[in-house]
Amino acid sequence: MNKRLLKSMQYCCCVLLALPMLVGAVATRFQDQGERTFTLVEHHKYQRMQYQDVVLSQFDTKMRDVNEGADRQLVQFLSALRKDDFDWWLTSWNQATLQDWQSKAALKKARRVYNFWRATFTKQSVAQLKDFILMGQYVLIGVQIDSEYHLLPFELENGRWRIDQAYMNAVFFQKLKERLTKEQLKVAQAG
Amino acid sequence: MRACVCLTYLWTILLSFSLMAENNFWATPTFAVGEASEGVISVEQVYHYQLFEPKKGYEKVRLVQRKYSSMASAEEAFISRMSAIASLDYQWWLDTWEIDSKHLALEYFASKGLNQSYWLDTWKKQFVGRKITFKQKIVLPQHIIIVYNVAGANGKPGPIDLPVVFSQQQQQWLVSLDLRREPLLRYSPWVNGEDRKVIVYE
Repeated sequence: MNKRLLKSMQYCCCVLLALPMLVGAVATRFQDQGERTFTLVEHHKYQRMQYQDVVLSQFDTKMRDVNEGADRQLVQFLSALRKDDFDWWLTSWNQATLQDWQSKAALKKARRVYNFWRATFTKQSVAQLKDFILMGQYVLIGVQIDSEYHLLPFELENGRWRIDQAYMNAVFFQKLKERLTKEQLKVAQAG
Repeated sequence: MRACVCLTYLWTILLSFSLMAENNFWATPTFAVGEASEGVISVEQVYHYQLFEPKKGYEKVRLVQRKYSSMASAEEAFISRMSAIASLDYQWWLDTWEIDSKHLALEYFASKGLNQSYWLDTWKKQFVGRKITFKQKIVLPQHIIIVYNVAGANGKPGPIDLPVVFSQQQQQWLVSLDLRREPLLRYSPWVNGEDRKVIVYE
C-alpha cells in the first residue's frame, strides 16, 4: 500500500514538474526580441491659391446636379442650409459619409452634423471664400463664415464634387486647418 | 540676326509653355484667385510594438484536429486557422473570425465573387500538404499579429511572409480586420527591421 502511495506521489511530482515545461512549450515558441519603434513621417504637398475678396452673395434656390467646380459645390452646400433643405444638403457629401451616417441612424449623426452647420451658417451670416487648395486627389476649400474659418475637402465621385467626412478626421488635414485658421486670425488682427 | 530672332522666339515659346504648365492644375477655382503657392504639411507618428521571433528564425506549425484546437492564445488561434484551411473545413475557418470582421470580409468576398468553392479550391492548391512556418509575432496594445510563411510545392519557403491579425474577445483570440487601414500593418516594418520611413505625397 505504502509502495503504491509512494509511486502515485512520484507520478504526481513528475506531472507537476513537467507542467511548467508543457505550458512553457507554447509560451516559448517565440523569443522576446524587445520593444521596437517605427517612425512614419508623411509629407503632404499642396498647391494653394487664395481667393481675392470673394464674398458669396448669390445662392442657389434648388439643387442642381452639375459639375461646375468644387467651390460652386460649396455654394450649393451653403444654399441648401439657407433653404433649410436637409435632403439637398445631403447631396454634397460622398457615398462613404452617407453610408457611415446610415449605419449610425440611431445616433442621428447626419441630423446632428446638419444642425451644427445650420447654426454655423444662418441667413444673416457672411461667407467669404479664402483658399482653393489642391492636395492629392482632393480640392480643399477654405471659407470664412462670420469670424470662423472652415476647411472642406471635396473629391470627385461619379463626376460630381462631394465632401469626404473621413478625410476631415485625418491628422494632416486637422494640422493644415489649424495652420490656415491661425493665419486668418493673424490677418484679421493685423487688419 | 535671324538666328537671334529665332532664339528669342524659341525662348518666348518655352517660357510661355512653362508658365502654362505651371498653372495647368487638374482642378481650378471658378472665382478670382491670386498666384498659386506650394506648401507642405508634415505628420510624424511613432509606433511601438513588441517583437517575438522563434529561436532559429522560423518554426514549423503543427496542425491539429478541431477537437484538440484552442483559441486561448494568438498562437493557438493561428494553429486553428491554418488547420481549418489545411483540412478544408470552411465552417471551422469561419469560426476563427471575429464577428464584425467576418461580416466585413464576407461582404467584400461576395462583391468579388469569392465564394466557398473558390476558397476550398485556393486552399487545396496553396495550403494542403504544404509546410507552414511561424516567422514572427508582433504584440500591440489591442492586437497580436502572427507572421507566417507557406512553402511552395517544392518544399522551399514561399516568396512572401504573410500577416494575420488577432484580437481578443471574451478570452478567445479571433481573426480581425481592425488594422486594415493602419499604416503600421501596411508598412510592416518588422519584415525588414525598418525603424523609420519618410513618404512624400505630391
